This record gives sequence, C-alpha cells and structure tokens, in this order.
Amino acid sequence: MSLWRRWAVAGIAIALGLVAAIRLSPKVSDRYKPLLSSAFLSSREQRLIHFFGECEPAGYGYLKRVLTAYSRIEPNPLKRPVIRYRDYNRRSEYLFEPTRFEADPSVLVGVWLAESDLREQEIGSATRGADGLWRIAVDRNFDLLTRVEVEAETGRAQHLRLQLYRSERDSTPVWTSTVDVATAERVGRQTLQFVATPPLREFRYGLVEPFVFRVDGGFSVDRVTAYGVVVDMQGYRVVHREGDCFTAVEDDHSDRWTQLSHELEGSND
Amino acid sequence: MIELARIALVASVVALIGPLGVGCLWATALTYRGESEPTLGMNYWLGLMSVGALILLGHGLGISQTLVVLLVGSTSAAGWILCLLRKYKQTRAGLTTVLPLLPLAMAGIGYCVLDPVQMWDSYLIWLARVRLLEQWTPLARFRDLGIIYPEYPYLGSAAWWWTEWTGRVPVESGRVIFLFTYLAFFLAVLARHEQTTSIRVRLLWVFFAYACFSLEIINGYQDGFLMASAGMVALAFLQWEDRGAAWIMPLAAGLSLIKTEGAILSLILVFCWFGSKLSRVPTVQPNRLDRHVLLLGAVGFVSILAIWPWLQLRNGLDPVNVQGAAFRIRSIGIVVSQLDRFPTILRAIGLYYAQRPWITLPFLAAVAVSLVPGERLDRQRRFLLGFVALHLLFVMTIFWLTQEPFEWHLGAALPRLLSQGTLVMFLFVFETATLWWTPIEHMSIARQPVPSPQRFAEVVHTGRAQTKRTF
Repeated sequence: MSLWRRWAVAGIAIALGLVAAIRLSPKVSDRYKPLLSSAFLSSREQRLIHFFGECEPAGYGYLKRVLTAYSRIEPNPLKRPVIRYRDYNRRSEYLFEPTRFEADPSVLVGVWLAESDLREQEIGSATRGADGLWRIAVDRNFDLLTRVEVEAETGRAQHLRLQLYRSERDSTPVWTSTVDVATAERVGRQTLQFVATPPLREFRYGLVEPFVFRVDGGFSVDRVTAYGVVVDMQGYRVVHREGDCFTAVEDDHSDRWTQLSHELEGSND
Repeated sequence: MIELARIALVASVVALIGPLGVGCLWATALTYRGESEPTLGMNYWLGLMSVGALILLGHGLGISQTLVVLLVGSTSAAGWILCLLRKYKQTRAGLTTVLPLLPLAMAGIGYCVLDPVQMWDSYLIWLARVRLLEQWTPLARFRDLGIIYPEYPYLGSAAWWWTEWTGRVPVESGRVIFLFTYLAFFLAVLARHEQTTSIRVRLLWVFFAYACFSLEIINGYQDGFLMASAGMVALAFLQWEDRGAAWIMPLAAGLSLIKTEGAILSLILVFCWFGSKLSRVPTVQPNRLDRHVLLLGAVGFVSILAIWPWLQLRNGLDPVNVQGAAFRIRSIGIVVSQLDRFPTILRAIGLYYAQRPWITLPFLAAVAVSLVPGERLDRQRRFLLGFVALHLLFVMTIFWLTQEPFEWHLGAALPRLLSQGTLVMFLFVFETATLWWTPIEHMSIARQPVPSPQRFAEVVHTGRAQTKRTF
C-alpha cells in the first residue's frame, strides 16, 4: 500500500473509532462524569468513595474506619466482622488489602441499613396463581420470617392450614401452620395470623424464585402477606452508628470490643 | 494524574512483558518443530495462557508462592533470552494497524485503571480468586471462605493476579491483560492476512475491532476472555491446520481452565476442525506422522481437560459440582417436560442477534454468499460455520436443561454465553470478505485443492512456505 493510502485508511479508521466512542458515550456518561474532576483522577481513595460510598451502597468509607480499628484489637489478619447489607452481599471486604476472608460473628457491621431493617416489617404480599397457589417474590434477603397474615372470608370450616415451600419445585414444605378458625370472634371477612415460633431463618430470595404458599381449608382467601426482619440483631448490641451504617458487638463479647466503640466514636470527631 | 499515568504504564508494561516472554518460548518451540512462527498477537495470547496455567497448576498443587513466581519469572526471562539469542526480528506493527486500535487501547487502559471492580456477583467470582491468590490461600480452603462458586477454575484470575502483583499496582489495573488479549486477537487476525491490501478488508477489520468490543470484555468477568481465547484457538487451527494438532488441541483444552463451559467450547472447536474435512480420515491411519500428531494432540487434550477436575479432587472439591445445583437433573421426565422451553429460547436468541445487527447482518450475508450454488465452501469456513452452529446448540441445551428458574437464567446468562462465539462469527465474516475482496495474487493462504504431491506438501507443511511473520 502506498503511504498516502495508509494514512487515508488510518484516518478513516480513527474516524470510525471516534464515531463508535461517541455513540457509546451516552450510556456511560453519568457514571463517569466525575472522571472529569482532577481530584477523582488523582486519588484512588476518591474513586472508591465515589463508587462504593461512605455508607451507601457498599460502605467503603465506614468499613475502612471499622476495619482499621478492628485490626488493632484482632491479631488475626484474615478475620473481619460479619458485614450485612440491605439488599445483597456486596462483599466490600474485597476492596481492602489484604482481604480478610474469615467472618468473625462477634462483631457485625451494618451497611446502608435503617432502623426499620432491624425490626419486623412487611416482606410483601403474595399473588395468587391460576393453580390456586400464592407466590411471593422477595427481592432482598431477610434473616427471619416472623409471621404470615391471611385475609379470608371464613365459613363453616374449623381450620385453616398454611404451608410454605422454598420454591415451586419443592415438594416438601419448610413450614406448616394451622389456625383454629373456631376461636375467631365472628364469621365473615377476617385476618388470620400464622406466627412462626421460632421464626424461620435465612429467608433468602434465592435468584428471584418466588416462595410459594398453599392455603387449605375451604375458605376464600383474598390476601396473603408475609412479615420478617432483614437483619436479626438478637444477641447483638449496636455500639456505633453513623447514618445508615452501624457497628454492633455480640453481647457475650462486649468487653473485648469496648476499645472498638471508643475508637469509632473518636473517628466521628 | 502522574500517579495514574504511572499505574497505567506499569500495569501495561508488566501485562506485556511476562506473557510475551513465555510466548517467545512458544515461538522458539514452534520454529524448532518446523512450524510457522506465531504472530505477535498469537504470541501474547499463548504466553498469557501459559502464565495463567502455570500459576493455577502451581497454586492448585500447593507449591509455594515464591517458587511459582520464580518459575513464571524465569520461564518468561528464558523466553526473552532465547528470542534475543536467535536474533528474533522484532516485528513492527504497521501504521495502519496500530493507529486505528490506539484510541480503543488508550480508553481501555484508562477504564481498567480508573474503574474499580464492581461489587456484583458476576465480577466478584473472579476478584475473590485474585484476592485469594494474593494471600496464596490453598485451593482446599476456597470452599470454607464463603466465596461464590468455589468450584470454578481461575486461569484468567491467575494471570490477572500475576499482573497486579508483579506490577504492585491496584488490583483493578491488572485487568489490562483482558484488553490486550482482545487486541491481540485482532492483530493476529490481520497478520494472517498480511498480504491483503484491500482497503475494504482493513476497514472491515477496524469496524469489527470496535463493534465487537464491550466493557464486559475488560471489567473482570471472564466471558470476554473466553470469547477472545476461543477466537484465538480457531485462528490457530486456521493458521497451523492439522499439523498443529499436537499443540493446538491441548491449547484448546486450556479453555476449560478459564471457565467451566470452556471445556465444551474446546470440544466443539476440536470436533468442528476435524469434522470439517472428513475426507482426510482415511489418510490419517496409514500416515505415521499424521497418526502421531493426532495421538499426541488427543492425549494432550484429554490431559489438560483433566487438570481442573483432578485439582478439585485433590483439594477436596467436588468435580461433579459444575454450577451448584443448576444441572442436577433428577429424572428424564424433567428433561422431557422442559422441551416446551425451546420457543422461548429461540425467541431470546433471535432478540439477542436482532439487537446486534453489526454482527448478525454481516454474518448472515457471509453465510448467504458462501452457500450460494456453485460456491465452494472451503475447510476453514466449514470449520467456523460448524462451530457457530454447534455453539448455538450448546447454548440452547443449557437453557433446556437448567434447573435454575428458567426465565431468570435465560435473562442473566444468555447474552454472555452467546457472546463467547462472537469472534468466531467475526472470523467467518472476515474470511469470507477476504476471499471476495482480495485479488487472488495477494492471497497469502492457499485454499483451493492442490493436485500435485509437491504442492500438497507445501500446503500441509504451511509454515514458512505459505505465511510470513509480520509482527
């Protein structure tokens, strides 16, 4: 190829490349707008804060403070607190070097978790399928399923039975509960409570596969609502909170981690 | 800014030096065997695969980190020394080759350095392995540490770790190896057609280099790496043909060390290559050389395929556990009952390709012009077309058999599984376009049947007689 042809081809190719880049740019502009800031360009720390946040969504800034204080007390360089998020396990520990892979249950760090996430709340209402089964798709993890409310038109039957299946494919229910309708005050529309005692643990959403409820008893059911707790804090005490991030220690180990809470409070100043 | 430039430079240099050194060993070995020398792009990929495989093997066998680092470092150094000793001519990439890819390379390096690995499962699977290699945590402990899919292989992560660790750069910078692999593929493709002067072919090449690119290739997930590697294996078959079977077959099996489905891709590649010329089967048996080459290749293929399951067994992992419970099928009845999924699968595949007309339309056009009556489909394109078809069948089978929630699995995995065959589709388009647009006197690769035994020997022993090294 002659030189001018080479240059021509290179020119056209670069133009093509630029057109492709411009075409793709609107898709990423929001995410990369901060790239234009020199502070963002010059500091990896700034970039990590930008993408993962002080507290939300992945709690980089807060975790860094906790891990720094934690490592002064815990000599094992591989141990870290249990980290809980409001939606799914983001594994922010991988952001740090060396990565601490071993979860130490005596300290729990909550990331982007409001007070309400630590108390019972509505998981959601189930929808009824053509097969008469009730399905509930849970889009986040719940530690506990505490109870289920069934709104039904009660009739002459004595009992209402509720069965919970982890998925459509499961043939064995993970929980069965029966309510004695005869104790109900009146016949007609009423809300019946199925309380899980003890609460069902590890109520994970499992790849958006819905949980399935079967309600038997010959009643006309209008509504099925599940309640649960996102993060089960039983046995833990919150020793530090900053916005929607917090640190809690296990009751049995509170003496050991006194210094941790002091350091974290000091870091607030 | 200076710090950022330093990281970009160090990561890029380290990402190139190590693999290219090991690649030099490949080049020396191939030349010694009388084969044609791999081009720079192919060299890089051969080196990178070897570096990753060495680390994975060393780590899986419980060899100390220092020893493995020394082994990889000295192998690379030996490669460089050998290249210098045999006065390996430093190949130069032409202006028209380098300049068009420069914006992509610069933007890609910038992305790898600037954008931390995102905290999504798909990326964390591989980042976790890089972090575990930093600490040289034994493979036997992977299962206890709560990482996602501990049963997955990690050749790509191993090479990624090598880059970030030796360069002492932030972990995300190590992903430049995936960018370089992608670019290496395109360099290798062009080098195969070095004598092609057609501007149309060159422009097509540039167009596809940009069109096939996506951030998914360099953001840490391994499908892009598998896509480029499957393309490289296909390219190696095209360049070295049957004579290269002794080493290309084991190399193809190396795909199984990148991702689990790499094993199936390698099987399809090997099957399609040999299936693309069944008429050669009767000549293999009486020909001692052919027989030995094939036997050697087959033994190497099976041995490399067996490496990961063997390492799993050795480290207390279950090799039968492919992807959790996704493919644990309890009865034939389930398989039969899931046949009604096919219309949905076909629709999803159709939608995927409809959204990517830049590859679909050229590919369909290439198929159309290749299959018109009177047109003879050569072995290379039969091989590539066969791969595309069987790969599609493989993807359909996955979704037919999956025990994960069907709709979810289809939405989550179909695009990335289909993407693994994209570069082979591009190769088919490019091979066809080259045939159409290149004047016969400029063609560097003999394709037509050759009548005389002497010419036949030249074609079989392609080597220096048919192809020249450019870069």
